[in-house]
Amino acid sequence: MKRFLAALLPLFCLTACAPKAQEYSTDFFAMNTFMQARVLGQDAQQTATAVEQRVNALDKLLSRTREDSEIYRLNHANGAAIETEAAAYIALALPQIEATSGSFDPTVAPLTDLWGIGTEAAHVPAQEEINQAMAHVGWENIQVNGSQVTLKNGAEIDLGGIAKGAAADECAQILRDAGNEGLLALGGNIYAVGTNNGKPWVVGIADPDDTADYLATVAVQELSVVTSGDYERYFEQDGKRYHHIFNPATGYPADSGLRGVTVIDQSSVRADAMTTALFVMGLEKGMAFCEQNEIAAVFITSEKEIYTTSKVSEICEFSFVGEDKGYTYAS
Amino acid sequence: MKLKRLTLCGLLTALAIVLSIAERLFPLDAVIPVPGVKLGLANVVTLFALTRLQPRDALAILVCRVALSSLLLGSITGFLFSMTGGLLSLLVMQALLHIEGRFCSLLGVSVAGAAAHNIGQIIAAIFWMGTGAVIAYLPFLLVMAVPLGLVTGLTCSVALSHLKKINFSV
Amino acid sequence: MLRRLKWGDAVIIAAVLLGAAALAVVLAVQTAGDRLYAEVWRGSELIERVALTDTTEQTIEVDGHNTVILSGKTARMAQADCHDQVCVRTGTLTHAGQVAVCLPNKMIVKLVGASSEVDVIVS
Repeated sequence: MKRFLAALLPLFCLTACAPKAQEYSTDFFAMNTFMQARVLGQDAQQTATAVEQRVNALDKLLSRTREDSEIYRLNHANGAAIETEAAAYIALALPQIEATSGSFDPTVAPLTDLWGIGTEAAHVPAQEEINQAMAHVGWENIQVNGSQVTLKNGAEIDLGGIAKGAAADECAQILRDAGNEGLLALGGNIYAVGTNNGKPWVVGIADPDDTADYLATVAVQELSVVTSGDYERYFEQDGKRYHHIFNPATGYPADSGLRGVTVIDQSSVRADAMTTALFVMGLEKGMAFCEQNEIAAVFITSEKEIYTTSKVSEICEFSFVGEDKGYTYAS
Repeated sequence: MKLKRLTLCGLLTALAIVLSIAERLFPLDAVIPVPGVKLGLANVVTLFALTRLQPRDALAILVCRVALSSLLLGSITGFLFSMTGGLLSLLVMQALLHIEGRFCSLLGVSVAGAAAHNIGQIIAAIFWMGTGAVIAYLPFLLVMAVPLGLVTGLTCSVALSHLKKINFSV
Repeated sequence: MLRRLKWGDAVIIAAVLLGAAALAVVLAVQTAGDRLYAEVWRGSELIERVALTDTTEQTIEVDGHNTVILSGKTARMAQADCHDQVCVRTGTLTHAGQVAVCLPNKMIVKLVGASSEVDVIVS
């Protein structure tokens, strides 16, 4: 009898010791947002720590609000040429500005400040104030010469539109160099590195009215997925919603009939800049722009319609699941 | 002869029903919080009938016992669970009785029967409730089947050895 | 009683116990992936971790700043004293991987455990 019981023991051990892929997840706050890094493979924890450190280093370099940052120094240089490490990142932004003809513009900082969106002082400013702030807005005010940057005409730079993208791209490379796979969620910037145990990573695209839930999913690998929406930071005044994505041409929050734009691209910087630009352009112009430039984008309109560009189905698997929430998938 | 067997069948059925009712006085599932845990004393009767009567007599006693005790005590689900469990138990014990004596004793047969009863019960529950979740109880029930089966097997084997002394036969 | 036992009885008993053990292990492995937990974090400090069941009803207050309500297999940030209210508007979390974040108070509510259809939600 005892021998029979003894025979049971190895069975328990076998099931208990079944091999499991190494995995490490970490959550942290950086760049004024919430971030998650999930790393799979050898020394996952070490890689995750390296990711967190890189994000914090970039935050220190590119933050507009931190007084010890390079961007803060640049914005307070009163137009003097500044030698700075941040120049490389400003240089990353320039081609995106040109490609979108300024719909993405990192010099809208004076407008952000004036409207105070995301702060307790948020309000609709007088037109005169807007005109005054607009005088300092314009990407032609940025001059990059090697590692030297000059801001003319009292312009201020805010790399918020690409800093998380740059962080996602660099951290994805950290994972690849370490031989890891994983999923990085740096605020609204996702980077799917490699696969999830051989399967693609599945990213849900949030419902603008209930961001815990999603309207569609994209299955991706080695791609970044970035979303911008009017639901992230906003305030309401007289029944109208004013959000944080500004139209550099009007000085007002972009009023384009869109609730959110998601871009899927290998470069998170590009995807980041494009979501902002496409949100400003609106559905019609945005779709045309994407088809012309081969950009994979998902548009969510305030009419509860979802549109995808033809590039989407080429690079990932898109599935629409928003019927229950009253959404329709238009293309 | 035929009359004697028929009388015995009736007697055994009555005994089995009494045992089913009597074992309710020991609410085992109050001590061990798993639904479906029972002493299974009525199994003594099935085992006895299998060894001393024909398998079809045992079957008849089982069906009558389950039907009547369900009418007296329980619900339609109780009937369903007991019937499936009882039939499976009967089948397994009948098969094992062929090798009883050489390979194993009545105790082993009884344990196997108790385990089969539990498995049948759970199968019925899965179909009746339409969920596989109830299978979670099965490991507990199977572990309990060992001591409970030993008790019923021992009871039956003691009863048989006493009957041997008075040269009881059908 | 032991005198009556034959070696075949031991085989039968062992078979029943082995079956029970094997079934228990299989069930344990299967259900381990289905458990759902709510976690409440302040910065990098885990304040509370609650296994959610269909009957869970619990309210968690964090420093008087945030109130988390766990109800059944869901969690939501019911109240926050910050001005942006992003966490409250996030709505009810129902699947593993969902997170409600209160940036001003550096507070997180998230669901972990049970396998989910999506790995992350981008918003």
